[in-house]
Amino acid sequence: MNEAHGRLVPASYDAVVIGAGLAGLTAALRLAEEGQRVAVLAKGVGATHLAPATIDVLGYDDGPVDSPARTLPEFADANPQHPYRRLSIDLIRASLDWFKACLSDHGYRGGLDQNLLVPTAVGVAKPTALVPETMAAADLRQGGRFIFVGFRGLKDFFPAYLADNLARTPLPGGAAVTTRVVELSPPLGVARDVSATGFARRFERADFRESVLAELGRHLMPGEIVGFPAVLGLEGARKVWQELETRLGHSVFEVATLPPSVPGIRLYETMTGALRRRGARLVVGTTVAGAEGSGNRLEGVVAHTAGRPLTYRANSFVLATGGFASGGLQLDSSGEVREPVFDLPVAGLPGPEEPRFERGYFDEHAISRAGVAVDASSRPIDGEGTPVYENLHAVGATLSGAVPWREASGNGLSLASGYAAASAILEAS
Amino acid sequence: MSACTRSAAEHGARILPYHRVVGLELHDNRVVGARVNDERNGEELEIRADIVVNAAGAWAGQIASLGGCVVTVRPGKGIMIAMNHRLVNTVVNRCKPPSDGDIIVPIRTVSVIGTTDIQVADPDELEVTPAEIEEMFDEGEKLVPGFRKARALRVWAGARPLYTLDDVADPRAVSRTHTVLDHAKRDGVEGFITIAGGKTTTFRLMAEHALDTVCEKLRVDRPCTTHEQPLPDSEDERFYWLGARVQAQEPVPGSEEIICECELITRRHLTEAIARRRPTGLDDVRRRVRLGMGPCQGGFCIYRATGILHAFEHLDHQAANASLVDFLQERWKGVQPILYGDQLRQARLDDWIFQGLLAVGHLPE
Repeated sequence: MNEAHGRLVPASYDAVVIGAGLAGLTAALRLAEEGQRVAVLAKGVGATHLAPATIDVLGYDDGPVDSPARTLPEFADANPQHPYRRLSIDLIRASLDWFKACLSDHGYRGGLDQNLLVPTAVGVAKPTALVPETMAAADLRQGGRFIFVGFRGLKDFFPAYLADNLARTPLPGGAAVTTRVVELSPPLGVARDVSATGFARRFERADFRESVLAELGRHLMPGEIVGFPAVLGLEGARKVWQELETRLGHSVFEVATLPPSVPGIRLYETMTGALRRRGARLVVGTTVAGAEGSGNRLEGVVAHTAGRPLTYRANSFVLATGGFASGGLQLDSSGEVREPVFDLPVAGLPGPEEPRFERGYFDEHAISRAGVAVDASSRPIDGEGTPVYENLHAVGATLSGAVPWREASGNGLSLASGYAAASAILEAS
Repeated sequence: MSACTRSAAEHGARILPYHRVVGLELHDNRVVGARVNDERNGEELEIRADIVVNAAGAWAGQIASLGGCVVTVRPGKGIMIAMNHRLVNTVVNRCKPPSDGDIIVPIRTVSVIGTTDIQVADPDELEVTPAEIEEMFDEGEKLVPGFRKARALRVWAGARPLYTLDDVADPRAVSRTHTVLDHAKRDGVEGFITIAGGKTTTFRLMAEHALDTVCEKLRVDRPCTTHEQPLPDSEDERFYWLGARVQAQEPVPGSEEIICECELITRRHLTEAIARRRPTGLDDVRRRVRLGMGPCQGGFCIYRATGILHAFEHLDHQAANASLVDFLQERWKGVQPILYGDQLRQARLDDWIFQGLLAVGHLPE
């Protein structure tokens, strides 16, 4: 570090990524893989810890989507402002392939041509493009006899409610699903209230697994597929899952539960671990609140950390701070929407007389598609379509035009847009 | 209110919530009973009584007309906004003639700012307008600087049962005192009285005055004792204390499942509330234990509470799903008009949980 303008200035980077969700980590890791010196600055961990680690590319259009590859062209035509309009099928496919290779330890299954159908914790058969191997046996497309396992002391998973709905869910091709439930009472000591991560840590212990195996083994019937809440270990998840399959002699899968998402934490740990091994700098717990530049070129961002401002200089910058849920977009009490880091223009806003929200919770709300609009090189643009900075790119939930929680497109958009921004940066340099 | 109904039930009263009065039985200019409709299942019921007391508040005019009497109630709409946390620890009220948005009241875990006063035709149609909300924020800023930056949790509207014999342009000029109307003396209809006007602060006095009239008509000569009787759970004369739920958890943290972290509702609280008011939906449980009323507005507890309700009441999937979806819609109604800042951030997280993670928009039929 050297001293300049009275501020501590760290060494400069090729790229600075703001935000450590899937979009930011994807852009950062791809750039680091190509030899760029990368810094990731994040206020906290990203939405990985909130969402299941499935890669939903496009789950719902008018109804459930069977094949994202087939549906995406018409979907993009019907939604001209949607980020998928600028992300080609080939690019999305490349991003999925890259992701699968990069998380080879997670054994992701699936692809762009055919969505899998996996049960949510309320028993909806949800379409998704990629799932980690610990969730793959949940695929409902062929039907099957399922048993769901609950644990006394885990309040974020209600297998009976799940099973009740799932048994009544019509499946494509008339696939037949039967469900039943077992609740286990593994030893938890004095604790009566154990979080998903608490269970995941216990599953890393052999003695805990033994007691689960002993109790569960008595209940299983031949051929049943066994669904657990997604708490089967953290860094040792693959081993835990394999041991359960081998010892039970049944296919075993995980169902995503309420946040914190254990599979999401695994995803985050693997990607940040890979980043560190590539020499990237990861600073979590810092707020980026200012930019330095000349003309339309950004030269540095000012981050507040440990009580003082620090300028991070770089050739290119990636904004991956998320949408309203992550604070990447903000709405104040008088109705003004802001992007707080660069004060970028916000697109997709309702008109002055138009209500921001509808009365029905499940209606589409006018403000839902608000965000930062970008050009073909993922650069934020103003109302005239001119890039605000020639070397700033925006990715993930910050982008305008999508309603990812309705479309089941969140992680797919983050992955593809993060991948595309990295490609644009690599091309330009 | 639940203490009042419990007390009444302990004294032999039968409480019929969710029953709409659809008619009054009249015989020879005497009200002898009421026909009511169970809103939950549509079943009709006839109730006979020596005296019918109309204590329907803003709806008192509608009930009186079923008995052929004219009582002019002018429902006065007032909105209130619950702000996250206690911005104040005592009531803060501006020293000026009563007007809109001049009072903040700390209650339980929140502070409530109020209110407006707009005369409406129908107490069932209480629209919260953006202008009213803006006014509350502006006035709140005067009471507590920085008010607009605080988190607004929920907005709702109520109807005051303003009763007056005169035409008054400004509803605030109408007295909040109450009147007992004996329809025998007033309209020649026996067995029927109306308690009109008043406000929650004086509700027990209103009841006393109404009952004095009932006793007189039934020729019962006994003094009222309600002013000497504490309501259930208040017998030890201790006030509500904000720290009570935390204190109960502190001796052995983690020894009970906390279903709602915002309001520290345990699984036991929840199942007791379900058992006490069954068969009902989650909205009644909410009123009892503040389920889903904290900062996350049900983001984490609604799924858990639905799972518990499903198991506890042996609900089928349709009833459980309806309860979940109704609860989400009911929360949304009070949240969406004041959604901004950190509360929008929270609401979006809830969207990701319910629509993204769980896909509740695609529940089976």
